[in-house]
Amino acid sequence: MAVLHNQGRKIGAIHFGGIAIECLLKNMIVQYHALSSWDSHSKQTGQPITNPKHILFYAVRSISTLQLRVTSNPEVRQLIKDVQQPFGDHYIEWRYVGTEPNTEKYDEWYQSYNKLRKWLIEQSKNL
Amino acid sequence: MKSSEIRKTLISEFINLPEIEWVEVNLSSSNLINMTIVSHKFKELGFEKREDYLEELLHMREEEFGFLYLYTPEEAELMEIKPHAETSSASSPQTWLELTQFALNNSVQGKKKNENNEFPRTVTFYSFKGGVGRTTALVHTGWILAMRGYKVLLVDLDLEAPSLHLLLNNQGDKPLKGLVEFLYERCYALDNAYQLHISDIFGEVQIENSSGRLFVIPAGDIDLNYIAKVDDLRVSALKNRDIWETFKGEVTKQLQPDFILVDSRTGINEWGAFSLLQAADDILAFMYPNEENYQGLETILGALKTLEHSWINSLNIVMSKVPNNKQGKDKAKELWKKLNDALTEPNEQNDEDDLESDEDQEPIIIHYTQDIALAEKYPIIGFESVFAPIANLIDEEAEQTKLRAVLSGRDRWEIIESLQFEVVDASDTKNDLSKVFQRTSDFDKFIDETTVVIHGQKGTGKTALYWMLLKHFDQSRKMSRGRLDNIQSISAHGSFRSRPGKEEFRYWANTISENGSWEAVWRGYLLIRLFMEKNLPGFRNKEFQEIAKELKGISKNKPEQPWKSQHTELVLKFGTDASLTLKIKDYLTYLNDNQKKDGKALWFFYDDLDEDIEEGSLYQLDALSGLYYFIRSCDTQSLPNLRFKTFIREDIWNRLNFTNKSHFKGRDVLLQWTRIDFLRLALRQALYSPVYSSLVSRYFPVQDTDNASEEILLDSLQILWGIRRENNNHAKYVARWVYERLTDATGTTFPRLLGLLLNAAKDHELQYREQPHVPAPSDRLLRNQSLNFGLISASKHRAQELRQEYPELLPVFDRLLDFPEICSKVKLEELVGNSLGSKDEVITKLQSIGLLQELNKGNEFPYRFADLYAHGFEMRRTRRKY
Repeated sequence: MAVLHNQGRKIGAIHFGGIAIECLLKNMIVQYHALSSWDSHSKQTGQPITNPKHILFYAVRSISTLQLRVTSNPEVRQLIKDVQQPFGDHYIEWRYVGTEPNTEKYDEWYQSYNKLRKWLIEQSKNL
Repeated sequence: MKSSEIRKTLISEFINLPEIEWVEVNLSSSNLINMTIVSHKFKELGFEKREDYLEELLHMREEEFGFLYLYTPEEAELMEIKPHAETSSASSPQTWLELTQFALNNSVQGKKKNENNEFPRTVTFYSFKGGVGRTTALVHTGWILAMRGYKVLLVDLDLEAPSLHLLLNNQGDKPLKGLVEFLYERCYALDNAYQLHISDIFGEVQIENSSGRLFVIPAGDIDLNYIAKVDDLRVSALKNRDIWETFKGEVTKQLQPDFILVDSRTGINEWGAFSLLQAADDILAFMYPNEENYQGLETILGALKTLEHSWINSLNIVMSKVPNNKQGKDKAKELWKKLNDALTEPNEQNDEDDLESDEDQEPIIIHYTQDIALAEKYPIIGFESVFAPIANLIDEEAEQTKLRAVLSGRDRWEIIESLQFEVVDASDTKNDLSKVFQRTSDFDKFIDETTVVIHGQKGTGKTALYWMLLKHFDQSRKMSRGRLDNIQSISAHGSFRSRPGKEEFRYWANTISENGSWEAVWRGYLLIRLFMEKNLPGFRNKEFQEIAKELKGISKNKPEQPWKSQHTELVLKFGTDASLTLKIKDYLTYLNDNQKKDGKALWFFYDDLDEDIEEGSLYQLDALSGLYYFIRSCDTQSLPNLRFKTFIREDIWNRLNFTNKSHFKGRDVLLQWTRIDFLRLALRQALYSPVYSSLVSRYFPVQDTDNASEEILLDSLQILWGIRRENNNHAKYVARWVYERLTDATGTTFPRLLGLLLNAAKDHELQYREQPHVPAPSDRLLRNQSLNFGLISASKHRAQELRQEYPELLPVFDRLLDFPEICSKVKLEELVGNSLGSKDEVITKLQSIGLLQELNKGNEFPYRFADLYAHGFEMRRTRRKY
C-alpha cells in the first residue's frame, strides 16, 4: 500500500488500503482467539469463528472488547467507515473504478487510513 | 424501536427472494444499530440514497445508526458478503460485557449450566451496593437450611472484602488456607501438581439437633500474601482452566452438599460477574429500598433476566434491611413492584390465562432489626423467621429438583396410567362414596345438632353428606369424633329410599289447598317414613289408636319397599284431617320422650327437594316453606331428640320467603369448598394410585390428608401438576389456578368437576406418549396444556349441567357463544333480550346462579362471566372489553 501511495497510485492505494486494514483485523482475530483456521473454535469463547470476509465491522465484532471500543468511539467508527467505503464505494469495488479521486479527497482518506491503522495496532496490544 | 421490531420491519420491506435477500441487525451497548441488508430494492440507488431510504423507513436519524452495509444481491456476491453469526462471545455470557451484548441481542444459545438440576445447586447472593445485609442473609439462610436437614456449603467469593472467615472464628476446625490460595494454585501451578486439597480449605459450623450440616469455605485470612494473590488472580485465568467446575467437582466429591451458597462481590466487578455468570444456578439479588440501589439493580437485573430459564434457573429479588414499619414496607413493595414491572416483558403481563392478580405477588422482605445489626457473631439464634422466606424459596426450588430426579428415573407414562380419578357423584349409587368422600371444613358445622339448613349450589356436596350419614354412618361417626354417637339417621326424603316425586307433590298441592296444610303433610309424611323404617315405638293404648289403624293399611316390613299410591293417599289424609294431625303431633312428643329416655336421638335427612318439587311451580315455595314451618313447629313443641337436616339448593333457599325464616338464622350452613378442602380432595384422588402414593410417602410424606396444612398438600400434589404454572417464582400456583377455575361467580367451587378435569387431563397427557418429539415436563405428570384441556372439558360439563338446572334460561345460554366475558351493562342487556321478562331480574338470576359477577358498579364494564363457564359456553376469552 505504501508503495502505491508513494507512486501516486491513488486507486490502488485505496483498494489495498482497505485490504491492509482487513488483514490487520484478521490477524488480531487469529491471535486473540488463537485460531488455526477459520471456523475453528476460539480458545477464548469456545465458539467457532467465521471469516468476516471484506466487512470490517464483522471483523471488529469478532472480538467483543474491540467492538465495544469501536462502537463507543464515534471518531474511530467514522475512520472505519472511511476505509470501508471510500466516497461511497466499497474498497473492493475500487479496483473497478477508472477515475482517480481528487487529491484533497484522497488525502482525507489517507489520513483516515493511517489513523485507523495506528489505533488498531495500539488496541491489539491490549485486548 | 427494539432490534426484533426493526428486524421485522426490514424483513417485510426488503425480503422478496429469501434465498438471495437477507437482513442482519445487531445492537451495540452504546445503543447504535448495525445492519447489513442485501436486497434488490437498492438497485439503481447510490449509497447515500440507500441510507436515506432506511432512515425514512425506520423513522431514525443518521446518528442512531452504527455500521450500515446496504447492498444488492449482485454486489454482495461480488464481495462475498454473507450473513455473519455473532461469534465474539461464548455461547453464554461470562463477563459483564458479554452479558450486555447478550441482553441487547437476546442471543443466549447455551444450555443451562445445571441442565439436569442436579445437586449441588449453586445459589449466588448478589447486591449492587454493599451494606444491604446480603452476607447476613446468606449465613442465616445457610443455617436455616442446615437446620432443615440439608447439607449446605457457604463460599466466600467476595474476595476483595471477605467476611465469611469470621463465622469460623469460634470453631475448632478453622481451615489453614482459604479459597484464594486454592484458586491461585489451580490457576498458576503446573497441571496436576497441586498441594492443596479441598479438605484444606473448609471448616464446619456446628449445628445442634439437626441432621443437616453447615460448611464454610472462607476466602482466607487477610494478610499481605492474601492481598498480593487476590491482585494477581485473574478471572480469565480461572476461565481458561475451567476452575469453577473443577472446584465444584472436588467439593461434590468430598462433601456432597445439597446447596452451595455463594457470597458475591458487589457492583460491576469481574468477581461479581464470575459469581453470577459462571457459578450461579440461581440468583438472589438483594436490594435496600432506595433509589440508589434501584437504579443500579434495574439495568443489571434486566440483563440477567434474559438468561433466566436458559443459562440460569431463576432470578429473585429480596428487599433487605427494610425498616420495620408501614412506610418501610410500603416503600419496599413500591420499588419491588416497579422493578418487577420493568423486568417483565409486556407479553408476559398480558398472558390472560395465567394472569396474576396483584395480591398474588409479594416481595420477600427482610426487615431491619437492631439485634441483627448489632450482633457480634452470626448466626443469631432465634431469628430464623426473619430469613425463613429466603430459605423457603431455595427449599421450594430444591423440592422441584428432587422431583425431577424422581420423574426422570421412572416411566412417567406408567405412573400417569396408574392414576384413577373418581368423579364424585353422590347420587350415583355405583360410586363408592365411602372411598371418595372428602371431609371438608364445613363437616363439623353440618353435624352440629342445631344445624337444620344445609344450602349450596348444585354440585357442592349436599347429596354426598346425605348419603354419608345414611349409607356410611359408621364412617361418618368416626369422622365426627364422637358427636354422632347415639344418633340414628333416617332418610325423611331423598334418594336413599323410594320416595314420592313430582307427581305426588303436585297431587298433594292440588288437593290440600282447602282443608290441609303443607306443614301437616310433611308431618304425616315423616310418620309414614318412620313406620316404613320400623322405627316407631309401640302405640300406647287408645291414645294413638287412630294413627295405628291408618298405618295398618301399609306394609312396614321392608324399608326398601317402593313408594306407592297408598302411601301418597295416607300422607294426604294425615295432612288434611285436623284430628289426625293433632294426634301425630302428640305422637312425635311421645317419640321424642322415648328417645330421650334411652339417651338417643333421631336425625331426619331431607334431600332432592329441588328435584322432586317442581321448579317454578306455583306450589314449590309453599311446599318448601311448609317443611320449615313443620320443623319450626317441632322446635316449638320442644323435641330436642328429633333433629332435622334439610339439603336445599342455594338459589331456592334464597328465594324462600316464609314467616319467621329468621328462626333458622345461625342454624344454616352454606356449603363451600375452601381451597384447602379442594386440595385434600385432589390429593385423596391422586393417592388412589399406589405408585403415586409410594412417591408421595417417599418424597413428600403426608400423615393425615384431612388435617394436613396447605403447604404440605401443595408439596405432595406437585408430582401431579407441579407447583407453579410457569417455571418462575411469580407464576400462579397450579393448585390455586385449578381451584379458581372451578369456582363460579358466587365463590362456589364444584368438587365433582375436579375428577372430570383430572380425568380429561390424564387422557390428554397420555396422548403425548405417541409424540416423543414433544418434550415432557420433568417436574410434573400433568403438563399445563393437559390441565387446560381438562378445564375445558370440566367447564363444558358444568355448562351442560347449568342448562339442565335452569332450562328457562336456555335462550340466554345459547347467546353466550362468542359473547365477551367482560362486558358493559348495555351489552349485557342485549344478551338478555326481552323475551324472558324484566332484564334486571334475569341479570340478578344470572348472578345468583354463579354465572355472572358485577365487579364494580362505577366501572364502564362492570360485568364479568365466571371463568368456570367461559370455556363451557364457548365465550370470547379476551381482556378486551365490550
